[in-house]
Amino acid sequence: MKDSAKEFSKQFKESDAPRSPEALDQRILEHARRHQPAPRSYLPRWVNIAAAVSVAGLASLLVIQPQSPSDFFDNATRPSLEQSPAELHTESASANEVPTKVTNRPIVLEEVVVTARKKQAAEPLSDPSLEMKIEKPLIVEEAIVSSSQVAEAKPEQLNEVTVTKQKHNEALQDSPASVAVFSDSDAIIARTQPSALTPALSLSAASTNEEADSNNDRSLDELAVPPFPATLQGVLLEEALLKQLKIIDDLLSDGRTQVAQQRYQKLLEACPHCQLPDSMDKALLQIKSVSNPPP
Amino acid sequence: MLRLLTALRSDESLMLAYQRGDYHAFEVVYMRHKDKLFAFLSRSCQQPAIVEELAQEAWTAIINTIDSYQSNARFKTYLFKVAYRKQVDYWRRQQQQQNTVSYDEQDCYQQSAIGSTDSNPEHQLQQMQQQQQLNRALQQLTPEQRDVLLLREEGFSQQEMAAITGVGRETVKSRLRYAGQQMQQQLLSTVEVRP
Repeated sequence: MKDSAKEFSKQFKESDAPRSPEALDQRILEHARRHQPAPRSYLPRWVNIAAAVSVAGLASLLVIQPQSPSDFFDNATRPSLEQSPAELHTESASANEVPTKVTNRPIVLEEVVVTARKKQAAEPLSDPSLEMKIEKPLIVEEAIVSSSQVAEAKPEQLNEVTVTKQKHNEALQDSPASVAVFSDSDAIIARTQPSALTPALSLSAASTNEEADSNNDRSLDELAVPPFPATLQGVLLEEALLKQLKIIDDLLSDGRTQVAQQRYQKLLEACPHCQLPDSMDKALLQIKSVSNPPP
Repeated sequence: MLRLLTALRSDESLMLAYQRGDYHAFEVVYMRHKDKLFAFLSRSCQQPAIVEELAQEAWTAIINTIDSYQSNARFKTYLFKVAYRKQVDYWRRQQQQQNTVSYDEQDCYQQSAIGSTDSNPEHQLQQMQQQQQLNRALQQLTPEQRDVLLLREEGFSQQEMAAITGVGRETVKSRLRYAGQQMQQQLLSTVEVRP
């Protein structure tokens, strides 16, 4: 059986196999050319499916994704009106310790006023250190002078600083409230942003010194507004801004409208990102409307 | 370089390429298998006109259904399966038309001149005699036995032969066994008859 199969295979292979005629080849190849499918993309179908799925996934992620982290930070640091004075104090203290973060959220004047008023209402009750600073502003000023100027001063400059301190004491006796508040704000800023605010502190110190010299000089010095660095945001900026507005308000109450106007212009220039109203009158109107809301 | 790479690709890959619109891929596949298919059809039925018609029908069917082609099995198996069915369909059509002529009784094994490239006349004659003996032996087989025998000579496995002919593997084995016995008897008788 196997031999016969082998014999047959042998004969089969030895025999000259018939070949396809050329005419038939031409016909079949021509048919194949005519019925050639339209060229398709070499990418498999699953590539298109995967691309569609990935696009849909990205879109859903964008939809599900929460607000930006800066918004979270602002919401966390911004004291809410429903918080108790104790909580506000805690947040204020932590904000002084933790370095501030740059955010793009604009500062709204009404928020500044309301927040600061809440804090001012809460602080005397809960924070005795702040009361001490108000009662003894010299301590703060001494710290400012020692931290910003004394370290870099030459011997001859040290004499000037001593004289300045003496003049400053006199000035404090003249108007203790406003200067105390101002120096308080500077002290808070100095703790967090010492390098950025050193010029501001020197400016404020200089302004109080010259205020003691003469009325003209005093009015000019009151125009000196500390710069508001862009890195200063949140609670600290609100406090500093409020202090400046309070000073302007005091100047207005003293009848020095022109000086107050100039100081407000300086404040506008110093803090372009604070989004303050263009004119001082509008700002004061807003402050009054917020502090005395309509019934 | 591109032609060399194309020549190295498998039949299935080339057919998929033709499915995507690459005509040259089909050309390569056709050149690979055209002679084998023609030889299979010619040995099964030696009328050249019928063989050409069957070969053309088989290839045309593959071209026309290229959109639904799937590379699940060997392309050669697929090609011979199509050709085998075309062959069976053809004989069924003939049977219906004539109504008296059966598949077995077809004059499919009329001798046809087989061209030879051998220039030696003695050798040419010997080859011709062998071919005639082989054809006579094949003629004695039933078409089913002949087909499985020819498919085995084309290198198909029993499983593939079963797929092509549409019968079970055991049936293929049985047909092969009977075909072998028949061929043995025919070849032995030819040798005994030969002086």
